[in-house]
Amino acid sequence: MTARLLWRIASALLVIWAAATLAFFALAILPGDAITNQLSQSGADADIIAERREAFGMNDPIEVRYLRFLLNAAKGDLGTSMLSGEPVSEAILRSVPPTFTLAASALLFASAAGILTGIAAALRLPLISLISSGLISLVLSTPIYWTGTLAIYALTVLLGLPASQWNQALPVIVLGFHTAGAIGRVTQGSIRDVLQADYVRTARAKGLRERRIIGVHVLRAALPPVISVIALQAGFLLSGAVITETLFVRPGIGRLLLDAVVQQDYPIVLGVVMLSAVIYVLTGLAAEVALRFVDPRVVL
Amino acid sequence: MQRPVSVSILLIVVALVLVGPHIVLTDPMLTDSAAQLQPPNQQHLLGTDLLGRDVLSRVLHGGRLTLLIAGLSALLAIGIGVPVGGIAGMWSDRIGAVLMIMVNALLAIPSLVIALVVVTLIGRGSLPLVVALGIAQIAPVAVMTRTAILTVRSETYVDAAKSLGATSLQILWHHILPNIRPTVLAYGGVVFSYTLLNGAALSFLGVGNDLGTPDWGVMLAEGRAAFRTAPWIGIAPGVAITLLVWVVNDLTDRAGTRR
Repeated sequence: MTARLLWRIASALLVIWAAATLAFFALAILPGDAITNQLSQSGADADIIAERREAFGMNDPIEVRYLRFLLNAAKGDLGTSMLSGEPVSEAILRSVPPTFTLAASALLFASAAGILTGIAAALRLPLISLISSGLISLVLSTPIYWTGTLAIYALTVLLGLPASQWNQALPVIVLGFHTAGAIGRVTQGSIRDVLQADYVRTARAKGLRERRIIGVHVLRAALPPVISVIALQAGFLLSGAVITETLFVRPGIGRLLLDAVVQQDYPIVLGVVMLSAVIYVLTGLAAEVALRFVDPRVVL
Repeated sequence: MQRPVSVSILLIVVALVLVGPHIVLTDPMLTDSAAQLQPPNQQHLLGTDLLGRDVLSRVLHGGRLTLLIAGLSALLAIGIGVPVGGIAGMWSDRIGAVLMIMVNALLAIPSLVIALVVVTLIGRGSLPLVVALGIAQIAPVAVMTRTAILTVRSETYVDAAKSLGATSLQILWHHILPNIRPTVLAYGGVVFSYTLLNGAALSFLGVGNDLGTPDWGVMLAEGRAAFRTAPWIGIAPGVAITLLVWVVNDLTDRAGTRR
């Protein structure tokens, strides 16, 4: 038990280290960087560019830069932005709150909507199942920014609502809507599987009411895959946030990452990659703990 | 949706994409300053875009490229992901643990960063898009393959083969691979859908295919920018993507549940 737990923690740290290392070397071999781009666009001489790059330590051998990056990152220092000179940790901390609000509300919305739609799609109710199942398929086959565009068009042009009435809620709904697709599909499949179990037939044979069978026996047994998919979706919310924040012109981690990617501001990109790895690892661990609570047969 | 419906829609889309360019001969890149932003009419059945290019021709000609990009990147992801997941599943203690840490690290990196690295290294275009979309899907394919193998590995016929003295490689080749093939093939459909949707997302973020290329993702991104004045530019590629992903998902769902 303790050995397994220690291995879990060690492998979580190893995953974060491997992601940071992979990203560091992948970015290090790229031609160009934010400093060179910015200065050569503003017409600075090669000397000044070389001087600025030297001051940033970019002329050191790659292994020196890598060790420096690792040591500093271990101390919590992620370096400074190549463009603004702002410490990366500050830029990230500044951008986390709006994205966290967006992502957390979207995940809540998605879990509720996905599970309800998934249940409705799995039961053999004539029209409701068909509509729910179709809705899930539609969500899963539409690019997220396309739904957002259609929603904005519907609200502003067709209904004539001013942006101030929806610009807080709509991003959450659009991102949540897309996250709900996978949750709904997994819930649907999981409930259909459980409905065929022997104990469900027994419960029916005992004369239990359908509502009680679904609510008590089926839902609990169908939950583990749903928890796993919610955790997986939580890890992917950052990618969804990049698109949602760009579409709705909101500040946040997604915008920070996209801007840094476009401007080749590598310290910021690396910082966001590490944040992303931490989120990914934490949601994975949280899902395992949650699974343990739902299904006592699972060993951590 | 009924299975025959999905199959026929898929066949119709593929046929349109393969044959369509030979029927609609208008050059998808031909700009016409006299016919900019025309709504659908007799000459341009689906209207024209900002530069006066024929939307119908672009959707049909672009479909080939779009399907090719999504298909090749799915093949790339499966070609690397299945062996990696297979090794991690069969030799699950040491090599498997190391491989899974690398796979998880790849999963933890946002796909936008992967796309940036590829695009900056080899430039924008169709080939970089295939590489970027494919690499981003290697890790999910590997995880799926490993899970499938772990499930099959505890079956009694594997134990039986082992007790008869079969080596790991023989078991993998003769007993495990044939049993996980349906799962892997079904997941191939899922990967195809993801690469199609992710390609569109990368175009929207400005790191997808070259601007102006007749590619459904690029067209959708261009259509979004002009949506208020000319919704028809985006609707055609949007419907094409949604329809295709829908039927592919539907068919893979069925393949996956008919174990």
